Amino acid sequence: MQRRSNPIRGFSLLELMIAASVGVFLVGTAVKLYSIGLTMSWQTSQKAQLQQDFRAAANLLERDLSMAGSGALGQQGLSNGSVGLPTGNGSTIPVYPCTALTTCNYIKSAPVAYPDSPTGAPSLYSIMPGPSLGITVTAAAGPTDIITVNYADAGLPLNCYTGTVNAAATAVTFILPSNWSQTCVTPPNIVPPALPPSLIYNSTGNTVGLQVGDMIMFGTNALGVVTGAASTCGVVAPNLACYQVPFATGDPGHVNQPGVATGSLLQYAGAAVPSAVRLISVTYYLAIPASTGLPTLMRIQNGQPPAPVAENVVYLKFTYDVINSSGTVTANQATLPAGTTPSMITKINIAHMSMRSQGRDTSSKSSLSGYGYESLDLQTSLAARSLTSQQQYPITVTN
Amino acid sequence: MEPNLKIMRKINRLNSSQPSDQSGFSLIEVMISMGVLTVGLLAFLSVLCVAVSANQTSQQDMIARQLASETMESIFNARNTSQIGFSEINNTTATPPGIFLANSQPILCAGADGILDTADDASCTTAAGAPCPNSGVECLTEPGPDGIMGTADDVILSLSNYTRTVLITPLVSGGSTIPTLVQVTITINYNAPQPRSYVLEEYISEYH
Repeated sequence: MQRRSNPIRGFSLLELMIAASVGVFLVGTAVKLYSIGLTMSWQTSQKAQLQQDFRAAANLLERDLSMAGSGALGQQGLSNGSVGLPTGNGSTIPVYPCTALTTCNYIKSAPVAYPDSPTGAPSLYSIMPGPSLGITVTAAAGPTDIITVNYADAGLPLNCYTGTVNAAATAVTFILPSNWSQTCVTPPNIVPPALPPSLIYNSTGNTVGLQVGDMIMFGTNALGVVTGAASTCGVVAPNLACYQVPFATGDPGHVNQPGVATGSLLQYAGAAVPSAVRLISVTYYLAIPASTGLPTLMRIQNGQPPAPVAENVVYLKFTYDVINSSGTVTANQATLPAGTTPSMITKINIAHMSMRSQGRDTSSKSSLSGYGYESLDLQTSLAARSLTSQQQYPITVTN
Repeated sequence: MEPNLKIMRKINRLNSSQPSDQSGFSLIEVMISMGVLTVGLLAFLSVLCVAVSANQTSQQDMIARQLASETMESIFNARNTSQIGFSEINNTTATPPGIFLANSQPILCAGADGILDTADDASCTTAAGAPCPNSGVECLTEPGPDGIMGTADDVILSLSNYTRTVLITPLVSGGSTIPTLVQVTITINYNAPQPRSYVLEEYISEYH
């Protein structure tokens, strides 16, 4: 009997109950906290990732749009009105955006026709709105917008060269005269290079300069799309360099139509062009690539294949402020009002660029509430500064 | 019997030599440990809260920055297009008065003139075209938890906790006011939830 009073004894039932309930409470709290923590860290990481993508996309978009219409190195640029494209007898309607010599079927698997000038001729403008031309991500939200901006490329010194169009209007010969204007490469008072950069190769022999698919603006009246590799041609003294660049018929955007009299390179056939400048043409649109199945903001530039900018952009809308010939501003127009042209745009408003995070569909993971998508919406305005600082307002041009 | 007794004695000896090692935690000990654990968990939770609120704040900072640059763009644009004269780039309270409202204003959308912070500022609408809540203060339309625009769970984020102040001040050089240059200060105040502000300051000249 003495042995039974030894210190080896278990918990009493009361102790056990208290300990168990305290334990259950603690474990329960810990699990709940862990679950909240898990959700929060998921949301936090999604939000951070979203903000990062969003900022990058918004910066790129804003930077491109704010360049619209800027001229280069004293060139006229695109600020004044528009550039005519082939029109009239026997012409095919020109379209954009295109990849070099392949296709223009990017916006809803179809090409987009250039906007018409008031006279009905297809024309290239610094800003080309595309209201509701984009894909529809959700029917309830409706179709999205596309937007295209064009501006002069300051990096390629085409303006150092004199261009001459051949008789058939299918090629242009660029010659660098010995008395080339050194200010075409550098601003005054800066020592210029001995020769401007080549139109084909750089010093290491890599292909630079003109690429197939590049759009060249001749004077302010004609456009051409490079359809093949530029080749060197015999230099006649005292000239310093000579390149021949093909602008043959058959580009997918139907810009080269040497057989059409109006709006084609034919107007300079056998003669010198007033000036030549490469355009940088950038189009933004939404697409759902089959590889990801996600709505993606795409950017296509100068005949290069389209590149994704940001995934999970679910909505894209623009409005425009336009000024008419009597100086009256009409703000926030989704489509340009009658009597105005894209050259009268003074401000581009990004009405919506809605993005969501990578997310996880709430319906597929119902036990973990709060695991949906994080989302953001961009609304801002950009002055068409390259146009507004060069154009005379109110606008009196008719093209 | 002899060997058994020996073993029993041995056991007894062992037991009496280590009585405390066999006892469980007392209730007090458990309570203390629970307190310690609670403090730890709360610390963990507060770290989470800080992370989440920092994330939220950075989003609001981004919106504030965008609002400020948008307002500045609209002023520059109005000057560039000669839509307004240089003398009109002033606060309504100045002499002579300009067109920009003084003091802090709610974030409304540009009215017919396309210029922000002027008397004709108008109500904003959502992506669906409905008026924004809170008297038409600008609102962002986000696709909401399902990530799809145009559905019932779209989030309409009102910017009612932001205000915009456009302050235009003359610049003085050598005791006299420069007639062709003014300073534009745009302040966006917002609660995140502590009051924060984003200030954008630029000079704008009569010429461009």
